[in-house]
Amino acid sequence: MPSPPPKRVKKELKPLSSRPQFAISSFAPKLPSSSMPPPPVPSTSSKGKGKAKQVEVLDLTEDEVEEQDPEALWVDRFAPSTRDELGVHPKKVNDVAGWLDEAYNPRLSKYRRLLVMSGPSGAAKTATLKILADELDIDILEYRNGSNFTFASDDSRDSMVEQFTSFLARAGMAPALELGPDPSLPPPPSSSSSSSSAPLPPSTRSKRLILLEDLPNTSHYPTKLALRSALQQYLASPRVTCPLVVIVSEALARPGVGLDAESTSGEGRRGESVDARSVCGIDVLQAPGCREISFNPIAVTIMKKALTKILDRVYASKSSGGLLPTSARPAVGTLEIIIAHSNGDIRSALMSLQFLASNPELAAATGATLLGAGKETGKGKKRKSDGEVKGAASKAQVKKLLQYVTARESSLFIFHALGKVLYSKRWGESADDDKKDLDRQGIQQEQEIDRLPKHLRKEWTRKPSKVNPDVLFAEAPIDSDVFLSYMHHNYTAFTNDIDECLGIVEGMSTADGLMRLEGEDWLQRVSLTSQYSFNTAVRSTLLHLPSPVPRRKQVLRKSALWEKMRETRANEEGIEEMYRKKDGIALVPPFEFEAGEEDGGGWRGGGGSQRSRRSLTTELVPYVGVIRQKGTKGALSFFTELATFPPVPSSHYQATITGETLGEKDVDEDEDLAVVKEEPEDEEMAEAEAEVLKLEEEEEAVGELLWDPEDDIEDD
Amino acid sequence: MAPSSTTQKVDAFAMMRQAAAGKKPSAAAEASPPKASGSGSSSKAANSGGPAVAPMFKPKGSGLGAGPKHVADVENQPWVEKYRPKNLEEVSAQDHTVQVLKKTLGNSNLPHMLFYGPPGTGKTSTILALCKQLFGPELFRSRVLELNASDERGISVVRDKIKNFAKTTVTTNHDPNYPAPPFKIIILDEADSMTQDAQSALRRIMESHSRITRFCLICNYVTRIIEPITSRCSKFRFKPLDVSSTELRLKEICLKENVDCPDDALRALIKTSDGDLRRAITYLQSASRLHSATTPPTPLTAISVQEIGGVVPDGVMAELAKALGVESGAEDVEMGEPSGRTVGAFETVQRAVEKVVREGYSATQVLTQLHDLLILDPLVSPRAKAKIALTLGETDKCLTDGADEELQLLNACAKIRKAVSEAA
Amino acid sequence: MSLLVDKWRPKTLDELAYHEDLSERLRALAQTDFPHTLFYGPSGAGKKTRIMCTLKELFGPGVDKLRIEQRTFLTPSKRKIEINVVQSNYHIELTPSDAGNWDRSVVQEVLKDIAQTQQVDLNAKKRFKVVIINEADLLSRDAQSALRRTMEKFTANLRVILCANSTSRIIGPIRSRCLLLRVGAPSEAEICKVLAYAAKKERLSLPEHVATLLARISQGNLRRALLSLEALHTQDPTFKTVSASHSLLTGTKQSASDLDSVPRPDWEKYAGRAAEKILGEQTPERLLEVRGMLYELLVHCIPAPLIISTISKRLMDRVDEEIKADVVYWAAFYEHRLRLGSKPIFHLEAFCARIMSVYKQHLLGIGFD
Repeated sequence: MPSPPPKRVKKELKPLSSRPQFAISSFAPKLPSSSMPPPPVPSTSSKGKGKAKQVEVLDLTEDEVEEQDPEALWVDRFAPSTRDELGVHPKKVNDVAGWLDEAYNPRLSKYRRLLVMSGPSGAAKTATLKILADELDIDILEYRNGSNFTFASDDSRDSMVEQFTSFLARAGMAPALELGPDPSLPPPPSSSSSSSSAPLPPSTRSKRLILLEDLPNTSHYPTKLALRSALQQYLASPRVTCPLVVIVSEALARPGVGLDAESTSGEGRRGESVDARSVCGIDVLQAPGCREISFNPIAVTIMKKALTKILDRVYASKSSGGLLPTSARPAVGTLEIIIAHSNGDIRSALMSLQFLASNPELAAATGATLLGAGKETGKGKKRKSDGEVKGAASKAQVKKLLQYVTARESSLFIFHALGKVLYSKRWGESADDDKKDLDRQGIQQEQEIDRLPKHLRKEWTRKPSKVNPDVLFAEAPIDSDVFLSYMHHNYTAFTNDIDECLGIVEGMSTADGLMRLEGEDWLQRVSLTSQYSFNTAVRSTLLHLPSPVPRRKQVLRKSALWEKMRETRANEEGIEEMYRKKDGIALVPPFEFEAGEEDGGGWRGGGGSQRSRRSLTTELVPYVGVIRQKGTKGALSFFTELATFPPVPSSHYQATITGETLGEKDVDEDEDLAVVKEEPEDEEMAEAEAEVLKLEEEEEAVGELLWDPEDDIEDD
Repeated sequence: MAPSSTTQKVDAFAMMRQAAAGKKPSAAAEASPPKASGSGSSSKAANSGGPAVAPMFKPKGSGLGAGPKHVADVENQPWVEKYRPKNLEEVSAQDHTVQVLKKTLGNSNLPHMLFYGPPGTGKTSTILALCKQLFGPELFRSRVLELNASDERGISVVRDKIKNFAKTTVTTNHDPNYPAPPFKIIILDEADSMTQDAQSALRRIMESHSRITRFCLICNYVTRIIEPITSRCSKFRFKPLDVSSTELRLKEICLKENVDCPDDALRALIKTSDGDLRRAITYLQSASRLHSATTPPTPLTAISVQEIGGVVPDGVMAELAKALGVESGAEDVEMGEPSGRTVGAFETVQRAVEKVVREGYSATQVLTQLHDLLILDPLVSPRAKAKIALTLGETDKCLTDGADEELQLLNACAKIRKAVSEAA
Repeated sequence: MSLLVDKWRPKTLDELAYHEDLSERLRALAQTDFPHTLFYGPSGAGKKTRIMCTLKELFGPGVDKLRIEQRTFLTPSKRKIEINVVQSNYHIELTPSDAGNWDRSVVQEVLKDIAQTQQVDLNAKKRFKVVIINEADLLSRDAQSALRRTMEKFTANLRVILCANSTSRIIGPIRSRCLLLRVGAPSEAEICKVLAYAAKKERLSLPEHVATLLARISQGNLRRALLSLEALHTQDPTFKTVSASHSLLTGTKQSASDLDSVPRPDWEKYAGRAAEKILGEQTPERLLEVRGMLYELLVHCIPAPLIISTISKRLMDRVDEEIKADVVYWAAFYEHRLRLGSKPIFHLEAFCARIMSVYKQHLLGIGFD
């Protein structure tokens, strides 16, 4: 590898925060907070390193843990260090291990260039890789771009990608030994496991891989393109010497935000969720040298096991090195709540747990009471304990606290949120429900409503609603226009007559009218307008739905809107393609063809003028489809297809909502909708305790369903 | 902003002198590029700043200012420019304003000014005439900066271009025939389309540079200028031109250009242009072009003037009005069809609207003319008029948003018809 | 195998079949220094044909040598957009509105390019080049003011011909800088004449009543009339299926089947059927069914505003006098909404639901007001 020109080196002496950093993992930079739990850091070695490098100790033993700084984050202190400690399904681990193994096999390496590890955050992607790399004796070369906080102009953003590209080129295509550590980095600290001690050679290991975890900002369209082409180049380059691993933390679609001003033509309109496909592009993923391994959220049982283990360590008795008194240990119930709230994100769960423990008062309270509960109660078993009374009092506190701690994670699933709106439950519709919903979380409690003026009363008086749209807006997992599209897709099944439909769809129409994304400042307005339009649509839906909403085993389905929009665009593009062909419906109508000359550079005999798009789609294509119907093939059959419509069903046809049922990851805790629940077995349970347990049960059910998409949650 | 170094100042002067001499900064000037962008200190920034200034000057200024740039096409020069008043005396109709401004010629003191009023009333002409009289052709280029705010209305324009021009000092040597007071004038046309941010930036610049710079803001709606600015300016309102002064001016041009414009065509011209002299002159030029193109040249007609102005002919409007249940002036009776048709009233409206739309008339124009027709009709009740006005307003908004012309027009007409028939 | 509509399109001003006075004017103008012009009029009235004829008058046969290019423009945010450009040595034609929000950059770049290059052809009859801008009324205000500046600046070697459906959305400064030329739709008789001409050229025997029917359903759109002639001919070479007593010809009340039995594009018939569905039953299930049809239309690339206006026209033909005004009111209302929002289906569906509701009330005898 040509060593970087001196100028370049000079450039890299800029402040650390403003440039990408790359280094061998043994002196790897501190992991960005968004990554998986980095390995524990000995307090001694982290001193004086500033924001820069810390040592990764990959093979910590439990003894070492106990010497750790009690202030350290549990996430760091209790990071997994062996395969067995990983909360990942062994098959996945083997997949990754197998890939890594093959990547260094000279015969196979050509086809093992790029590994994309995708999955939700906290699914132990990074940890898996690090552990395996250590096992297989591979050096990790990590790319980091540090300038997230500067407001980059277009130029500098582009150059960030350029920097990345050149990093790839240098790192990937260089033989291992020439790649020295960044000269601007502080000297590597010595550590028990780090085998290297001097800048050169950086490592005794011969195998290296490049890790790209801190992705450039892919919501910026040009950046994304640049990233993709960099990856493609990497895949195609003959000089690549080591595999590249990209870790993509998936995030839910937020189309409103991802929507570019340029969206008329591109992916912008579609929900731009961050996943392997949206980041790397389908071309990259389908390349022969690329493999995607997707990680699932950590399963409940595994997480529970892991957390319990950690708790065991923390709350061990002083004599055996425990940090905190056993009495303060959070109860199993609490643990389960935390796990359920974490959505399979082990990091988040661990953070919550530590937070809980760090609050002595609370820890004491829960410890005293729920500990007992956890220790002595099996599932659904009756028990009597001293802590019972106190437990009832603090239970609410825990619940409340957890709401804060895990607020982000406990956002409603779309299915649930939709159900809330479309079932539009109101107080006084059913006595049973009212009893159940009294003081229940997520239910707006009955309140005095001002009476309407006389002239409005007859038409507009409704019973008090159990749904609070403002809360719903805050909790809704997706942007309001996606939410509206789902609502739109499903609402008709919940209505009895056309006037109700009108009220609802009119609300949606109004809402959509509000959301126009135009003008210079649309980005600034989008948050406000989406709130208004969400409220407009949701409130008018709640208002116009019948009370009570009829129950006919409605099934919630995915919105067809996005798919239809995609089809429309595909057809438009198809027509566009035709512009360039000479099948008799070209962009410019040629008047006279002079035989033999058609294939020349230009159109002969012309005086033609461009056809407008509108006339193309509404006049030319439909008629040409008819005119050229006979013996059509290729391009023209596309026109015929576009020109003709399916037969209209007879008047007796009863339309139903179609589409993929909502379900995957979209679980609801509202028993009316879907979830099959077991009643607590013991009738005699004390009331307060019953509630605690019920909560546990419920969350348990949610948790299990969450991780098992196969479960048919649609059954009523 | 940090003050520029001495050399840069010299450069700026060089540029101004060159401009005053009627030359564009030539290759020689580019070798030592004029400091125009202000912020960048590298030669690259200055280079790109230099040429960028040129388009900022409205071309129409070039006709008045020093060197004519591309007026080679005298034949084709818009009459609006050709007959722009050369001095304040020539400004049509705005007597009051002109009187006040004339006084400033004597005492070489000028406030910041804000000209507002409907288009084509002479705002730009007045300030250009004033500047010309103040500085003469020699100094015009270096002392007057004319910016079209809607061109580049961002805050950066205010920051860079205006600030740069505002802070250069004035030269003293000048033609003794002109008062040439020791300040520069910045004309901001279409100031009401400047963003709020740009306006507040402007306000600060106005304050800090008022010693050697006067601003003249020109806009249609004074309400769109932020209060801090309006309070710093003397406001001059420009009224729509009255018929007689428009007529006078048009006749003068007809005479000079040898246009045969009969009275009815002239009347149509004045009516179509609606107090907007620029429009009237433009239409006159277009019409004369059409008519002189034929062999032999024919005198202008009212019809062709209306056609050029995009006006719907009276006959078509009368027919539409009739379908709406309004029988307007007696003179158009022969246009109508025999009444008592069997088709429903709605269908009558539908057909009438369809006809108008097929003819290609723009819906906005039809609405405007419907307004004139109906609001003045003594037979339509005030209540109906109120409803009609409401309908027209709503429809106009929808059309501005880009809604379908035929649907909107049909809807408006159906509502008007209802309003008229209900009141009857 | 070019289409009828292309094959017999007039190539010179003399060949134009109607609006003779306009052709006369254009011919006269072409002799002088041609001004900037704005052609406006409904779709299918022959604006572009007239423009091309005028070009021929201006420059001679050289304008027939066309090149089609894809030009790439770079937006300020460094995004590439591709625009189809048709040009000869004397003119360039483009549709900047295709670039969506970036129309301004396109207008500026193309015009600057053209304006700064002198006419290379020394034999050219005119010193200037012509830029034809299609769909000028769809240009953003920004693009329009950019256009205005360029028009002022480069009159010497550049003439702009704008082509628009209406002047409503053209900003005043542009209107006042252009010579406005209105191209109204041809009358029924004129369309018949053109149809007969084309039929003669193709050696078809076209019965008069068929021509009249085609002219009537084309609603003043000559392009459609010609296309439907060809379509009808392919399906029914002897024109037997069109009876001379068709209700559209006799002016009697139209039945649904009559409306469907004319050669219209399939999508129009489909939209008509959606309208019939709306009138057939007013329930949530029916609304759902109509939604499916609306989606179908959208997927076939039919612009949403056109869907509303087509459905509403059909409804107006079919409903009672009393609620016609309501239909048009709601059609106008939701069509406007469409322009504001981004999800056409919401507004289309709301329109249909509204009409169902209105119609139901009407049937119940409650009346809407």
